[in-house]
Amino acid sequence: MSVKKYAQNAQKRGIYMQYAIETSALTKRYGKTNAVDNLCLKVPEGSIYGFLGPNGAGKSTTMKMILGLAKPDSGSVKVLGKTVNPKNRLEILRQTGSLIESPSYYGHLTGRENMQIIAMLKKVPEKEIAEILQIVRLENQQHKKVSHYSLGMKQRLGLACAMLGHPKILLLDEPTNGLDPAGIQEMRELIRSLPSKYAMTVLVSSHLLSEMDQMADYAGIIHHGNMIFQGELDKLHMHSRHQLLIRTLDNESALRLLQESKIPCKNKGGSLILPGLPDERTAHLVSLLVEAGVGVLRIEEQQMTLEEIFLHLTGKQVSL
Amino acid sequence: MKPFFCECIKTKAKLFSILLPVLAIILLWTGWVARDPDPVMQETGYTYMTTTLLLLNSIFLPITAAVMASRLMDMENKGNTYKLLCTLQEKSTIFTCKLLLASCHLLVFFAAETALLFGIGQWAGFTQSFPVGDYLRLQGIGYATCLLLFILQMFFSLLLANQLYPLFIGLIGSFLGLFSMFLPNGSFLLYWCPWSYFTLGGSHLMVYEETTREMTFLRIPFNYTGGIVLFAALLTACFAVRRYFLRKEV
Repeated sequence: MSVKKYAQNAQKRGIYMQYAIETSALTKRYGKTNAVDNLCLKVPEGSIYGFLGPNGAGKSTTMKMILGLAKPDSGSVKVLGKTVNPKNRLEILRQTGSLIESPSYYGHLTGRENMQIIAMLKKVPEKEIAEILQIVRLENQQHKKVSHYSLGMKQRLGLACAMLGHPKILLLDEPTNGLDPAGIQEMRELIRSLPSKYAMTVLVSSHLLSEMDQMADYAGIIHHGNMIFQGELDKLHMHSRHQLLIRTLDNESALRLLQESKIPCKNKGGSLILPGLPDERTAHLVSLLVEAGVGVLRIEEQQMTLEEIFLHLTGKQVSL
Repeated sequence: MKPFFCECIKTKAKLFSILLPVLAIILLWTGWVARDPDPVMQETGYTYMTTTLLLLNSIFLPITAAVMASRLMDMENKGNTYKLLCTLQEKSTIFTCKLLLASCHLLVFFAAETALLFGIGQWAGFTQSFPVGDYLRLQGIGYATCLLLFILQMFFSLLLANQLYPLFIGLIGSFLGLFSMFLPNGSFLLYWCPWSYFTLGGSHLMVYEETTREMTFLRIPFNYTGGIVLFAALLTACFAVRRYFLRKEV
């Protein structure tokens, strides 16, 4: 189900869905290539929106256009209900924080000095720096030069700079890039906590589907600049076609029996693969096999992983 | 004012660390030249120093401007900071603050350099009264030329990822500026080389008569065409580089 349909249903149920970020027919061309093509992105308020797509799909370009860092060829961007234009851009963006591609920092300055600069530009009181540094757990490294930070620490500093001023929206472009597994886990937990703790809406991009599975409430999948899916993550999982895997003592006889009962099935890798069936039908099928003397060893319900769904939607293998 | 203060914090007095050694070299050089002055030198010392200062500025300031521009621009490139800064302030503000910061530093530098020359003259016992007009001309033109070179170097630093190339351009410029001193004042060629504009600030031509071993200072009138060319070049460079900076996508 698309976000639009979801919003319509929600409205019918008396729930009005507000979007923190809304783009309409957003297009960006580089030469003859459409990096982003008529993109309609809708990020519900208070959600973690996973913006998925393989490398080069147009995720960063979209985020840059939302932030006014790249000029769209056509289309518009609404942030917190206001259409962004060159005049009100900075005023609107004051309510956002961003971490695009890689963290921005001055290596010759300490972490705290870096944050002081951003706090000054964001017109945020300096006392907030200590609080944010504590959230990202950099308080003990704040007086160290950023050039001496590890990549994980730099990412956390980038996130801290984005979080300064407690913005309503955070745009994070591949925030776990280059982090070790512990760092990824830490970053994921931190992002996960932002909507509930600080009432933030998070738009987070990644090419790692498994990561989004653990973090996001909503997902948008972009491929070659086109949105190929947008909606709740649960709805994305509904795209996964369930199937049944049955292992028996005599697969050949079982296959013949099932085909006679007009149940589409195939024998693959020592298992019989059937489409997802209702429970009653599955129970009937098992009794049919047992009555025919075919010993049933195992029945397993199999669901497509996000990677497989992505592959199904885009026809392209994703990097993991 | 806040963006300007931010720019000051960012540089962390690094620009002064570039300018102070240049000032120290000029102090040593001019101090050496002015030591034990004979009566003629005492009478013409400050005028003589204008020619020395013109030479020193032509040698050192193009490369200094290149290093300053590289420092200011490269710290943003290295840290990928434009994509953060541009969400917090207008791009034009970033450019203006950088230019303003460099202008202020250069202004302090030229003022300090003039004060230094005056101090050296007093120390060496020059009897000539300080030629304020000559020094205003020399330092005013020097300041404008240095600012022009800084803006051009900003452009090279934006254009070229490897910051060694802009520095190399600055070095080549130093040599060009130095060789342009051999061109006659008002030569058309002079206008085509921004590094040579320092020479417009010279108020005297030093003529050395080898047979009598006498040095004569000939006053040269101000080259108004050159002044207009310098002013026009400064404005054009400022607008063009600003435009390039604003158009460059982050």
